[in-house]
Amino acid sequence: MKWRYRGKLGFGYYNNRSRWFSLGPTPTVWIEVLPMIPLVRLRAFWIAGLCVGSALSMKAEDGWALISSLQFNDARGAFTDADQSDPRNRLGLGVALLGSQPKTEANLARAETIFRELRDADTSSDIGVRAGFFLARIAHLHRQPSRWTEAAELYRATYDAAPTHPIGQRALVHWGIVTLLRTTNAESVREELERFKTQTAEFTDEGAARDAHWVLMDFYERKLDDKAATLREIEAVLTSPVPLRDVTRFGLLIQAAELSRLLGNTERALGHFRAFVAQATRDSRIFLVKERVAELEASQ
Amino acid sequence: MKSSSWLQTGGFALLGFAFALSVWKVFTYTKQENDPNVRTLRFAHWQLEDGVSGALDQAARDYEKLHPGVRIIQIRIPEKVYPNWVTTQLVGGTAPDLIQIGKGIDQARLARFFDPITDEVIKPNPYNVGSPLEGVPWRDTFIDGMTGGFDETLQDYYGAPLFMATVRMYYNRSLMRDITGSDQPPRNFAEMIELADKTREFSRRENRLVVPIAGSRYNAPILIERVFASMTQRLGQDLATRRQFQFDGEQMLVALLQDRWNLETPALQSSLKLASQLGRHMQPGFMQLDREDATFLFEQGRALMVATGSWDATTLFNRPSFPVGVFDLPAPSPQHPEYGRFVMGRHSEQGVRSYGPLGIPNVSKNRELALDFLRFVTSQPGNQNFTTRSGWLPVTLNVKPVDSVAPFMPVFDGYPDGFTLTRTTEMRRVVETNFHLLFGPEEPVQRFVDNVSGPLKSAGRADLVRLQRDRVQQLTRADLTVTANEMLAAQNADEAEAYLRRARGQRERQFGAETAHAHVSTLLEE
Repeated sequence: MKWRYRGKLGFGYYNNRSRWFSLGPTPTVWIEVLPMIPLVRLRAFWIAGLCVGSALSMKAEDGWALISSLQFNDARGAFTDADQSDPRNRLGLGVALLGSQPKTEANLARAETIFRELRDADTSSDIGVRAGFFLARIAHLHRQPSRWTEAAELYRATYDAAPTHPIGQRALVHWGIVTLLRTTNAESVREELERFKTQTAEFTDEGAARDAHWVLMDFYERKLDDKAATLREIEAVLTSPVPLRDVTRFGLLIQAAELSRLLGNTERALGHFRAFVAQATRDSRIFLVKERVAELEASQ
Repeated sequence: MKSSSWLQTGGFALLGFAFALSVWKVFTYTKQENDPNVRTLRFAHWQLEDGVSGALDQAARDYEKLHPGVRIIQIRIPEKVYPNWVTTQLVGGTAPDLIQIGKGIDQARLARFFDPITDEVIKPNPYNVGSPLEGVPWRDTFIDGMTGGFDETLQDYYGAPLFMATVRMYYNRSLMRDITGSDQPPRNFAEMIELADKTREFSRRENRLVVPIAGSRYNAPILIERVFASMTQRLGQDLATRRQFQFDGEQMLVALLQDRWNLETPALQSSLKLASQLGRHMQPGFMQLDREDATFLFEQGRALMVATGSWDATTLFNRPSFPVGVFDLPAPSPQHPEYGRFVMGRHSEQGVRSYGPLGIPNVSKNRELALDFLRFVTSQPGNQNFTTRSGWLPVTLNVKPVDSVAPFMPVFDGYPDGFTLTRTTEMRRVVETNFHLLFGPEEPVQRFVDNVSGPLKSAGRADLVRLQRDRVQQLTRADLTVTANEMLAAQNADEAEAYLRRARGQRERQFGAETAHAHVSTLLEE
């Protein structure tokens, strides 16, 4: 139970069933009644009460902090209390509904309605793009089995509405995944990969650009086993200005080295293996990598 | 006076004494609690093994000496009740100042009830002044880079770990001398099997009940899985899809569904043969026995060897009346004439991580004190004292283990492990249900394969579906936390970098999982 201050509803709390229990006269009542009370002490008490009230009222920022620490149900309460005319609070409510437990169709449908309203209000604004992205995520992941076609359309629409927005570019990367996944013929896969590569080449968001290289790397390898193209994309991921977590970087260094070795480029393979040995001092693969380095050096 | 009257009077007197004692305890406790000159710090953990509690108590007394006016209380909670206890404490808002993170504390609870210490771990530990670790960020003073205290989902450090463990084979040195004439342990797998045969012969000859290896449902898998993971080393590398010298549980399941391996695969056949061979050297019905049964058998001198972890070292070195030795868990070497072709070599323990970090609940009124105590016990001198007193492995760099646990220090030169059949829930259930067939008479391996092959594939599919479900939850959660951190960064210019760092880490982790999710979805739809 958390004490809240809800404007006209005054001080109170929500019970387990989200029912509001008021614990005192509303400020409107105080405003009407207090001037009639001559006692200065009571007036002071009233002012102090209002100050405490504003301190207790939930800010939208608190709601986002609750979401970042996985407290979705509390975040939902915070955003419900917040000013609903602010689209950021509406977005927060939609996001909190997606994370609320237990997961229900009603919550999903309500979140979907909120995101649709926000997107339709302004498709290219920051909030509109984020709402569009979440609509695609609902079709892709929240509803199981995934609605691949609908997800692809929603991702694409989000990108088309805001092609320079980081979330718009992120949406195109996800569009790439769901589209390439459904493409089976090797020739078509290659064509799609080339098209995707051209579309994402102009990305301004470094994170989205790195993710696009990741998708290219993944599909060149898994669908075509094209070693040279896979290597090129891995190296693009490794040199991205967005820092990679160690665990990811170490794996990619070995993969790049192995692909270089298989392509007959010993120098390049050694470069990647040596970078791994220098950085991954606590990795269980280091002994094996050192052996590979020794073998390659001996073969030179 | 009748004896019954004496009894009554004695009973009342005892009751009165107990009542007075309780009143006195409550009174002194309240007095201590309300003493304005004393700050009390409480920490709770589930490590009840011999040595740990005493070493932590001594660390607490050392800290109290350094910091007059501070009182430190250790709360030891048995492992079985720990999840319930910790839930009650956290939800009730009565948690102690430091809690061992692990059992009963999932990511949601970690995020809700604990304070991250990420900002602190990049600063040097002041208790390392004067040591070679002076000026080194606290995080980098840990053997594993403090990964045991890092949460991947939340992208924050939540605690400082104190515990690390490896597994080895313990043996009875006196009995070894009686059987072989020397107390030197076997040097390889072949010698260990030879030793086991000699032990059985010794038992028959001397008419003395001695089993070569003490087994139980806890100890036997330690040894059997080691052999399995060695025998599948090369197979794992061959099946790995990403040329990253790594073969995880999901790749194993995918390869099983793609019919790239099954129980008839030569490496698996050899693993099963060896498991069957090892099982026959344990006492009958060992899979029905508990950890304590195996330890008891060994302590009584009725088993020559037992496989367990460094956490049992203090117990097994101190309790038995005979000297105890330790050797590395054996597995066939690449030179083994029959099994060597499946093996790359001794497995690497580079991946061994510290565990059970002590975290600070957000209800703690002594956050700074708790942090300071954590710095103290994990500093080089602090961890040296803890290691020496407890007989446990060190977690801090440059700390020397006591001689008896030196054989437990992780071996870094080695190869990545292969896979075992018990890595995932459903496969483990199928294998464990039929495990007894491997240790029975008449073609045990074939009987096991006949019974397990069919259900194993269905179980593998069920495990993959479960992994996908978990991954969807991970992906959808990450969407929400990434958005929240980005919104917070936009609203708080001062802390924007920290929020964006979290968002970047969560996004990257999510993205790797996203492509894997997409490919596995296609496989499961086929």
